[in-house]
Amino acid sequence: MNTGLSASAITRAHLAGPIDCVLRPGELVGLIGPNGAGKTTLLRTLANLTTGSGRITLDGDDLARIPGDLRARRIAYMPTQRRVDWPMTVRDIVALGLPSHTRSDRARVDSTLARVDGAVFADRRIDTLSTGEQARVLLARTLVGAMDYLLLDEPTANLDPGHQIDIMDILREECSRGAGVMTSFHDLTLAERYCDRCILLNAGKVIAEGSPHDVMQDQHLAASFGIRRADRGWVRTN
Amino acid sequence: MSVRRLSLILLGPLLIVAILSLALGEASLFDIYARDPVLAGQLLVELRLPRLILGLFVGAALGLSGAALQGLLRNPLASPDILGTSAGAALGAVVTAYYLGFAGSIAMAGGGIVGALLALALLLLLAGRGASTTTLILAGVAISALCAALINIALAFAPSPFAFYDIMFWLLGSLADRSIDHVRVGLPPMLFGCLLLLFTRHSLDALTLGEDVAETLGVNVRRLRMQAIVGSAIAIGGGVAISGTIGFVGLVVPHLVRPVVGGRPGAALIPSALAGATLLVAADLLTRVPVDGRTLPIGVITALLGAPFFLWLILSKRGIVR
Amino acid sequence: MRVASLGLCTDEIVLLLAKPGQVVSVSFLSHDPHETPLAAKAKALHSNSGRFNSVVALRPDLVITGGAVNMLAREMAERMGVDVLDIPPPQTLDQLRASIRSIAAALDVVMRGEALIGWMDARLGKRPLLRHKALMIVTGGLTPLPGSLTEDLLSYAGIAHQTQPRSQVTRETLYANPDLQLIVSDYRSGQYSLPQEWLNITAHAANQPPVHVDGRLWTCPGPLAAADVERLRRVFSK
Repeated sequence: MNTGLSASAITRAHLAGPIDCVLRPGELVGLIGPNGAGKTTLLRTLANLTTGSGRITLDGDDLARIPGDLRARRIAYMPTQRRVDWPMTVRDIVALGLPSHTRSDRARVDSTLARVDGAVFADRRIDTLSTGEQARVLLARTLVGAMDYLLLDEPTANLDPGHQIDIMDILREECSRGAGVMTSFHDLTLAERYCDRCILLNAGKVIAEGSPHDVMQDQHLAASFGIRRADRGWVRTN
Repeated sequence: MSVRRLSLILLGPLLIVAILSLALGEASLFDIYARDPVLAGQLLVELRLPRLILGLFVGAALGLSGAALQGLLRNPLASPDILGTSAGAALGAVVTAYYLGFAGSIAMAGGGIVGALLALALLLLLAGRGASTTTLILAGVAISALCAALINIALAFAPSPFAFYDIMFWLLGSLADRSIDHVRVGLPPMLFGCLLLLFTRHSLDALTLGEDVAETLGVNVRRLRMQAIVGSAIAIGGGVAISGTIGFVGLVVPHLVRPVVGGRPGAALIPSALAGATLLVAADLLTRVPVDGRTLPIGVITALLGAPFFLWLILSKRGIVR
Repeated sequence: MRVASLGLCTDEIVLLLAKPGQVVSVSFLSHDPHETPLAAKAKALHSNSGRFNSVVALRPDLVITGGAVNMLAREMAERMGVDVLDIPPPQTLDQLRASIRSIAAALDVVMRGEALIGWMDARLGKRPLLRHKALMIVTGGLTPLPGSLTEDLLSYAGIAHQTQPRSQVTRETLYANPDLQLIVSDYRSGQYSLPQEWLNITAHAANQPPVHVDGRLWTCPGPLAAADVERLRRVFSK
């Protein structure tokens, strides 16, 4: 029974005070907040990459006690950092997202690449691609394992609007197959349109949590980003 | 190309240089065989075979450590000689042999391993994790220079005036006149170190996406780091104690091999070991050709071959040549 | 008369010839029992570094060198009225006799010089037929140079020295000539070095047990080496 990836009363460096949060199967949760608000720390914490007090459970089991290779089959994490150190081929990089004994599953790699519109450069070296293309390859690496929970740090950064929408559609597809997806954004419009739920962070604290509409109230946005809603998009409050 | 296919292809040249290494030498094996077959057998088993075995394994250890350290540090300029690991091993061996009163090759191998470990630990301390190429190389240069100075001091103040001959006899790299005793001492650490390094090959590929991602892909990054560092130190420590500091093999070989296996750092390990072994045995064959009645130390030959490659690497990193 | 000798080779002859009180300084090497059996005789004397300026303060009348003193030092000696006698290492037995005579003349002990030569020649005896082939090796496989005094001296023990063209042998050469008798120098054999380890292994592996010599006598062979020839002749005739 998948009850979700949930954190209770966690304290971490860069987070102010104990924080609770949960990612349930099938939902798309948007993490929003200004730079330095603690979005990355929260995502890394849910991926078991940080240490501190509090308890994180994966479908009821203590996350830290689950062996690394089993955890790796349930949770996929994609950092903002898009560096790939070696000029590997796109296909090899995507295959890294599969459990090691299935890394030769070429059909799965290719179909995942097709989903991110990357079939044409499957055989190319990653260092010959554009930034946007690289971002899509790394997303494909995150998707290929069909994990239960996806933790993505700004997957739409550096992408053109068309591909941003494509990626959000893909994440919705992931939710409809039952995966829980948590992703950070700087684009509030995308967050508003696609997310089931939003968590607004500021200075390491949760300012608001709930439906995108409830979270993106003017008082919340003013308190965190220092912006308000205007007729066409967003403007600075002062 | 798949690792298996490349490895099979590399076995060809390896076999050729191995046979040449057994067949060619200062004395003509065929002449001796005609005179005294038993003696020829002895020469083969007691001199040329140990030399071949040591050449193969020192080369493999260098290639493998280079590939593993490059993968671990995610840096194409990492290698045991550039990072000061070899110099640390040499210093450890010299200090053990001349000052701690543990004379003999076994003690030198032990001292070499400790020295290599200390040098690598110092490097990580100086440069930190995820250090830039420049920081890493500078730290390596500093460690190498320090160790070289200390080695010279240690040899100059050693009780035996012949200690200074060690520089030519061993430090610049030599496989000449090694015996089965050297194999007995050097082979176990090199084998053990290489095995440890081979265990890292699946994890190193994942590390290319960064430590965080590797960790979420099920890699125990801390254990991987320990394995690669301890494995390199043991393999290099054992190798240096027997054959001195042989440069550039660990740097060059992974570069030649990695593109063939699609740039995967982990996949480059086994072919790097094979290519390193081939290269070193081939270089050792060159040392048997006297130039004006004298032969060059093997470390000088690998440096002559490797230094231009190193320069090319720097230039290509700077984008001056492609 | 105050005499200073700057080198191990001249030290030996000076120490054997000089009258009590005549010598004021010999080189530091001659104070080291690892280097010469005459170290006890040198004990009370000043120890010099082998350079002229290390004996200047002793105000010697005569400085005996091995020939390697620089121009500056020579000019300084001339200005100070110090005689300088150069005795380069002898390459033949006749040169050795001439060296002894030169030093004896300079020390004004001509008769003692003749006596030393007589003693040496008595130990050498008449040159017998060269019935034995042998190779003298020092640590690391170093062997006496072609045309050296060592070859000359060994011939008086009936030994045809198998001089190596590169004045160094490898184990492979020794394996290829398994019947070659080795004369192993014990020079500093108790002190560890890799070349020493090489020598130990090599000597051990030879077909015939090697003949050992006191290496101190043979580093720069003089009258004491000649005395050792008598012993070698006995050993080889057995």
